[in-house]
Amino acid sequence: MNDIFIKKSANRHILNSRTVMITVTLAAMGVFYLLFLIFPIIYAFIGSFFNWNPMMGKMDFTGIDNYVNVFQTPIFYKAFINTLIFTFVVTFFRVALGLMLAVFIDGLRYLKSFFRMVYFLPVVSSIIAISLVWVWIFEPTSGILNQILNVFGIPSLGWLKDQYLALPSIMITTIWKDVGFSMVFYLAGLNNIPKSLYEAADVDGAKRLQKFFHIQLPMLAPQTMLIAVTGIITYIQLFDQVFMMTEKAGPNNATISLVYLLYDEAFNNFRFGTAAVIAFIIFLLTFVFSLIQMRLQNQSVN
Amino acid sequence: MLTEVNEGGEDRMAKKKDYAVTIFIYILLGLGALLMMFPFFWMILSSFKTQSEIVAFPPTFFPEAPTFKNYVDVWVNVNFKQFFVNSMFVLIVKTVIALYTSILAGYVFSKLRFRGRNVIFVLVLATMMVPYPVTILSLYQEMFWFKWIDSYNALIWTAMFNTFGIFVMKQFISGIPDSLIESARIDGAGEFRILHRIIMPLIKSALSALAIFICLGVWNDFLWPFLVLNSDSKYTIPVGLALFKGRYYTDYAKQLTGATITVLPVLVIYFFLQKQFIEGIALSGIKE
Repeated sequence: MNDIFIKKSANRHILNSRTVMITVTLAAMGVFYLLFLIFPIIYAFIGSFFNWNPMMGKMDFTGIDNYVNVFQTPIFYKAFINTLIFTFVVTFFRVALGLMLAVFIDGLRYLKSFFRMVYFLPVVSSIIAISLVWVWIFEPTSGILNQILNVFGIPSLGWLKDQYLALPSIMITTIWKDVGFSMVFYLAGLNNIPKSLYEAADVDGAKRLQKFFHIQLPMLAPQTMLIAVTGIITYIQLFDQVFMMTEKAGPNNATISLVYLLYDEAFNNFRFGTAAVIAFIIFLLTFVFSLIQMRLQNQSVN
Repeated sequence: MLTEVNEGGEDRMAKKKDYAVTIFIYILLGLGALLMMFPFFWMILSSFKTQSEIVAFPPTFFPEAPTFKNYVDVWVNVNFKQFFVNSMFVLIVKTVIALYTSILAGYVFSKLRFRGRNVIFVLVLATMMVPYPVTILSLYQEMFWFKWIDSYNALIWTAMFNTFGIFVMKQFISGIPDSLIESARIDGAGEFRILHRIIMPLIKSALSALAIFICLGVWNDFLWPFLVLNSDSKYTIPVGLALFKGRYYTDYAKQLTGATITVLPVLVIYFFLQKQFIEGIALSGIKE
């Protein structure tokens, strides 16, 4: 009798703590995601049809004016194209250089962990701090890069102050910072390739390049996919480097990106409505790339 | 006979060629490593130079008369000390909260059964597809309504749940056998007790990887703190550092010193916890 009673109360206790945990967790998550994600998306969409300024508490309906404005400003197209160029170039190098580094380092007998450690250094560093250092390296008059070039007889270049070189300079900094990220993923992938594959290749007398193209590259396809897609989605949101490395998006808006334009519209010009239009264009771009990724992934599975 | 000799020769040739390739790879990687380390050395060494030495021509690599003046200036006069304390506070609070909510939700979604669990989880995961520019404008508006502008509330509560953290924790907790949890339940342990006493010790290494991942994100976070924090006394390090650009535009000595103070602590910790750091970053590759 007593035994059964104890068991029952214990059971009830378990049931209670279970219910409490599920309820508390789901309630907190519900509030959080509604307040800081779902509502903001909806409100931004509504806001894109209004003359919206939170600082002045203003919200006046303007119809599709904001959309017309965005698509009629040449600077939007510049930001759009810059963002795409930056995204593809940096993603390409992140994949290619990361793969090259990983394959090289993986084949080493000595200094393997040293190289891995060194190439990963910039990944853990703050992009804001890194940007300041690179601005100083790119400095046209006293920067070290031009002085090194001068030694080799190459005249000084304007780098971040030059309207054609400013965006490439930011790309160089970003590639330098992120190449260790993809290297780590590729190294992990290389680690998972079964030794028997290499042994079979050795019997066939395969050369390094053949091994690379016939074993490593195909076996690393999932990593390549992951690095490319996360790269594209991250780089579409380019902002910090532009903000830190160039003054007001550089000479002739050389480095302006979509997120920088959004920031400028909202927080310098107080036009949250047009900024919201840009936000949804970024959303759409991300969505399209995610769809392409899923398409490719399904294809590679089939 | 003749062919045999030839083959031997080819073999030796191939070996020699392979040796040359290996040396070439070492040289290439070495040069690359220099390129990776140089900006850090340049930053640290420059932070001990005077402003006049920094812009001198030709440039010096090692400081001629090493000085701590920049550090005193930046730490005390620019009030980096305050930024550092603020950053540490935000780091600890945000990381502890996000870690705990990730474990909690990860456990709820992997080990407790309730109606609609999978649907809710998929919806939560879907939020990772939303890029931050889409929500940042309305979030700013909300901070205005809540009167959270220039308050750490704006940083802490908006990051209370970390979707990626929930996902990672669910993956790891799923791997724990149900029998372990069942036997604890039979012993009369409540769910919270099971979570704290059984689950948490078992996923320690995943937890530390996630902690590093979240910490790095918080320490280096820039745009949102920059938008919502207005007063100097509340700035975190990246926000304070960004101001250097405006206020000390040509004072590279101060800028590089500020950058050093931001980066060096992370690099030192990274040096000792390399494996955990790399695991932490590698978490972002986890898929279902």
